[in-house]
Amino acid sequence: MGEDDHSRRPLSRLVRIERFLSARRFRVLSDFLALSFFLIVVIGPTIYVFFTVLDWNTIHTWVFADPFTGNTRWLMMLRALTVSFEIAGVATIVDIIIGLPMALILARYQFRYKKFVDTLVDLPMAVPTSALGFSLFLFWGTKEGLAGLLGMDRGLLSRGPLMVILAHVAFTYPYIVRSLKAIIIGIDETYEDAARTLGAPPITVLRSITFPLMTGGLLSGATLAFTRSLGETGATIILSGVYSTAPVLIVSWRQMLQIPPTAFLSVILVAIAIILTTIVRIVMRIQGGTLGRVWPSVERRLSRPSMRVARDTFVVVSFALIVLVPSVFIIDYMAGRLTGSPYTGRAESGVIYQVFLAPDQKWDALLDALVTSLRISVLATAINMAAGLPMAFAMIRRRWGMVKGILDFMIDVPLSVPTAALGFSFFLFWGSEGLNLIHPGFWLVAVVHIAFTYPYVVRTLMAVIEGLDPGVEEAAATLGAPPLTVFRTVTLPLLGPGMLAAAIMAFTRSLGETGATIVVMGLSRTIPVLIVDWVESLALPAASFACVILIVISYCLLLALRYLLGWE
Amino acid sequence: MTRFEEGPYLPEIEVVNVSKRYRSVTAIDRLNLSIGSGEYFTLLGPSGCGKTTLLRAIGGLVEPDEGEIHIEGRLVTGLSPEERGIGFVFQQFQIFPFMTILENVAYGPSIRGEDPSYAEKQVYEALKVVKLLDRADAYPKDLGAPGLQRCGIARALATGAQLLLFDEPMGAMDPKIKREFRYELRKIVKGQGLTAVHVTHDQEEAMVISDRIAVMRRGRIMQVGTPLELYYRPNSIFVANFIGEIDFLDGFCVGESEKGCVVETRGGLPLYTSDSCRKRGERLVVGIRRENFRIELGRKRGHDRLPGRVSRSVFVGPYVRHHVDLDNGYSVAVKEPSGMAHSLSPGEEVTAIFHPRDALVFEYPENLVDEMALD
Repeated sequence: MGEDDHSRRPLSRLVRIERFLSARRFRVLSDFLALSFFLIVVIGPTIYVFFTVLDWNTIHTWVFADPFTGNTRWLMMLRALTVSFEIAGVATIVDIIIGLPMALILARYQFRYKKFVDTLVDLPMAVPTSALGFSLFLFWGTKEGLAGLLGMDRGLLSRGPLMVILAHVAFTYPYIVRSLKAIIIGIDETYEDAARTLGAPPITVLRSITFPLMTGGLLSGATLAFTRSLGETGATIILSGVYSTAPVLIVSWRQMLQIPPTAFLSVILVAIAIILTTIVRIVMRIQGGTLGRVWPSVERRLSRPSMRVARDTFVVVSFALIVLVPSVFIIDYMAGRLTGSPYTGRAESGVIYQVFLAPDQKWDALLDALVTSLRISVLATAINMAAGLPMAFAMIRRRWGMVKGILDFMIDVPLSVPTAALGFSFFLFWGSEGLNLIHPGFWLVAVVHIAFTYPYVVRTLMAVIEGLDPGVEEAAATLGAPPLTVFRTVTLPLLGPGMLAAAIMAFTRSLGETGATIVVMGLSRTIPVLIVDWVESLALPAASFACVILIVISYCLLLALRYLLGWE
Repeated sequence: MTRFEEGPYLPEIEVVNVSKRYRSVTAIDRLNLSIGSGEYFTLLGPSGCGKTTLLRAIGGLVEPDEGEIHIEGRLVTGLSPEERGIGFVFQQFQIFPFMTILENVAYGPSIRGEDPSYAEKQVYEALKVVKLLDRADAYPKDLGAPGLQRCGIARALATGAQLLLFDEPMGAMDPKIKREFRYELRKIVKGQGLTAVHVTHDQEEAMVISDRIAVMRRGRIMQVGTPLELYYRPNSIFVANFIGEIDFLDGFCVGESEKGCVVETRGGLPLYTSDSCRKRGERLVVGIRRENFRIELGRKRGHDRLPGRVSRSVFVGPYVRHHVDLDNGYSVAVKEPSGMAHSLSPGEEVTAIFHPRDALVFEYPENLVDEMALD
């Protein structure tokens, strides 16, 4: 061997191992494992509930022909579904009305404090829904909130659909604004310029050019908000009063151990979710619509600067009053009664007494729940990162044709299935009714959390991987690196921030989840569930303390996420 | 004398002292310009010179920080684009993707609430002018770049605009197609008796298409003139350098011949020019366009003869470019049409010769390198 024979010099041991592992059979193995994980851990249990209701006789007896109550359960189910749809529909419409102008302003105008406003818009995303529900209850429903400001001695609203709608508007608002803003930014502004040079005043441009260009995005953003609202449990449980929505009905029937009707209701919800996901798929491609009628003079009048002031006022007031202040009102509430009730001065109604001094040792329970919450979120996030990365790679880089289209669709399913129904389906799959492997408690909660955060991880990673420049990897390959070495030394470092972002997204979602947890928790408690418990037992100051802790953790994570993704 | 002053044009656009700053960058700087009615006027300059900003300011898509813009004698600064009665044609076409060609062209008349039969006539006429009648029902995705741009022009025409603003309208086309499209564009504008303001960084395009050209640099106008004026009488080293290919030699005015100023460049070579007399001893720069040189074999001395050695010859296709290292340390390049080009090998002794009338003389600038930079 000559001295100039550099190319034959032995590779480092690590690279040799990586070259060995880069062989085709290992790649197939890794693809196989990623796919199996997705199908067995995520999708299988989610749709398992379909197979349990095949026993039509049981369902018929329980739901339609109970010997004592007849078809009462069916009627309850129908009513809950109707209420759910009505609430989700109204919340989505209100969201679009108040969210669209906000998205337009954030996407198209430059102003001071824009970054700050943008961060505030995201805030409700960081407030776990049970905390948000509780906060809204305090704001709208008690004399401590808005009513107090107006000098009334009882709350403005009582629990019921209206309050649930307000809560759903608040927590879906960031989703709507964020997706609309992204769509508007994606529209080439010069289309709007072109329309203006052709003689269209701003409102006409908005109607005839901007709207048609964003139809698909608007519909899919609306569907996202709609499904999130349809499947929400935490806030709804606190605010719905006697009007159950479908997820709340699942939770309460599950607690009464009425398995067959719960399964039936879950099937209906999962089916609805799958149908809605399909609609989004189709709708995303829609663009356009014709010009329709025009009213040049009216639109010219609406385009005047004075109207712009009116619009801005509307945006600010609606955001502050409906979304922002109610969501964080809880912090004010807690601060007001740290040491005791502001009215009676009794220490027993204060946060410090209730949490630290009272005989029922709430602090221990809180600490316990906090540890459980964190452990579950960490576990779910870590496992999803490990299983989601190869899956995301396979989805972007492999040529699987039709199969990929179907997988792509299935990844979104757990996103739109109401988490209570999803949790229940998992309970059936793993529990004594199914495989009899995992029983309600910590591990089942963890498995459920893995499933519903999986889409967040894979979707985010897919977006990042798609944005990678394959040229850099090709360069590394031409320099002699085997595929796995390229992955370790070039691809992974490039993925860094995106991976962290995916992890934080999954973590916050898991941390704030209520519905899925309640259904499968057994004796374990996470903080969102604890909040529901304490609100139900009327230990409001203690509940507010738990809320604030959860909000602080989530908000810090959200800020980190924004920083990592470099959002403006 | 600009052609505007002698020609039949009435002022259509007056730009008075217009400035626009983006944070610390000044895009256009106290700019004055007058464009005549019926004129095909081009703003030419390197990227970032402010030509697009000026066009957008005329169109109302950019609001200037100071100054006034008048269109047909009407003050338009402060008016929004839809109130200016202009037609704007975009580089990326911006044909609304969800409408047919016909709907795109009909957009302007219909949002103005024109009488339907009148609007229909406008649209028909516009489509006919750009020869798109047979594709009226197609969608934008079915058309290539030239078709899309025809639609863009028709869309602007259909509003009845008498003033068309073109923002690099051929920037997204292939070079070959571009060359065809130029003539078409000018024909449409002239045929309809319109006024056009055209932005481009392609000097050949500007020369072919324009009545007059404004060469811009760093937010200012360097020179306004007809293509011939800019080519034969550039007023600055930058303009001479930007239009065509040119080499510069520097030296001092040493006297006068019967034709004009004599400049002595490095190595004692006398350059006879036809430029009017300068102060004796003034430092000057002489520019000679590469196509104005001739090659003679062997070393020849005398005025307007630059002896040296060939460093390399490049065959470009229509012409051959010989790079010559002059004996005095400068180098120049000589373009010869391929059919009559010398066949030279590196190291061969040659003389580059030019005619005094082809020598462009400039004062020596404060910063020659900066003056010659193409930005």
